[in-house]
Amino acid sequence: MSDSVAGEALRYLEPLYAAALRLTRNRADAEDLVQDTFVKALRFGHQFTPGTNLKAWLFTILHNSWRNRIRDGARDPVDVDSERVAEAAQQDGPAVVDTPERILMRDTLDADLQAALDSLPEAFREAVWLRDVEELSYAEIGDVLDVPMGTVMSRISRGRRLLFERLTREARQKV
Amino acid sequence: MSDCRTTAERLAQYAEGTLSPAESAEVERHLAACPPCGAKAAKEREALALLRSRAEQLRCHELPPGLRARCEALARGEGRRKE
Repeated sequence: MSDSVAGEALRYLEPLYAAALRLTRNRADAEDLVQDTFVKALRFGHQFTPGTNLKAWLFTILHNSWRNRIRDGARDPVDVDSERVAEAAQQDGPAVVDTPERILMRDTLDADLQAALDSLPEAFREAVWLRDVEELSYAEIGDVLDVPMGTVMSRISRGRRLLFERLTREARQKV
Repeated sequence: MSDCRTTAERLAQYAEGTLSPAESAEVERHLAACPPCGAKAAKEREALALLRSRAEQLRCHELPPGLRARCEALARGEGRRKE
């Protein structure tokens, strides 16, 4: 049983590592977190429900491990107080629709996009990433992040807007 | 007529096009009448389009040397004692 989970899980090492890097912001810690996730996946493989999304299950293990590490004080959390983060983000930028920005979005470099994503508060970045890059369902993201679905949706929404604002602000500064 | 709050709750799905036609029409009516919400929706759509178009590159992260081999060994049941 867990043999098949193990074999399948090996296919997701790259996305797991990418996720771990975003969370830890450090290669050695990211590597450690992925290996830890993999060990747990092997150990608890029998708890995986066949037919459900293995990638989402692995992300859940990875995020749980990360939350435990933060709680145990293994590292300084980047931003644990997501409520405060949410409040801060309530203050959206000026509400202007700027059509030339569509062109800016098309011209955004991969490195700029990565940097803008990295600059988002963790709560928003993870929700957006899991939805728009990893294509998990809202319910799966709720499991991974351990928050209700309404929170998942509002974080995705707010996170996308923050990303847009960071990218366009950066583009304006470069001009 | 839905309000800003209801609309905000639906924006994520609206941007993805996953609302029902009736809900989507309701959101659109509000967006047309409310410029601040309209601007929010536009930003969200743009960011989503960009992320989707770059998802492949963003997902792609080269693994550090040895990590795959270690995990393969773990999967084969070797090195479990090392954990």
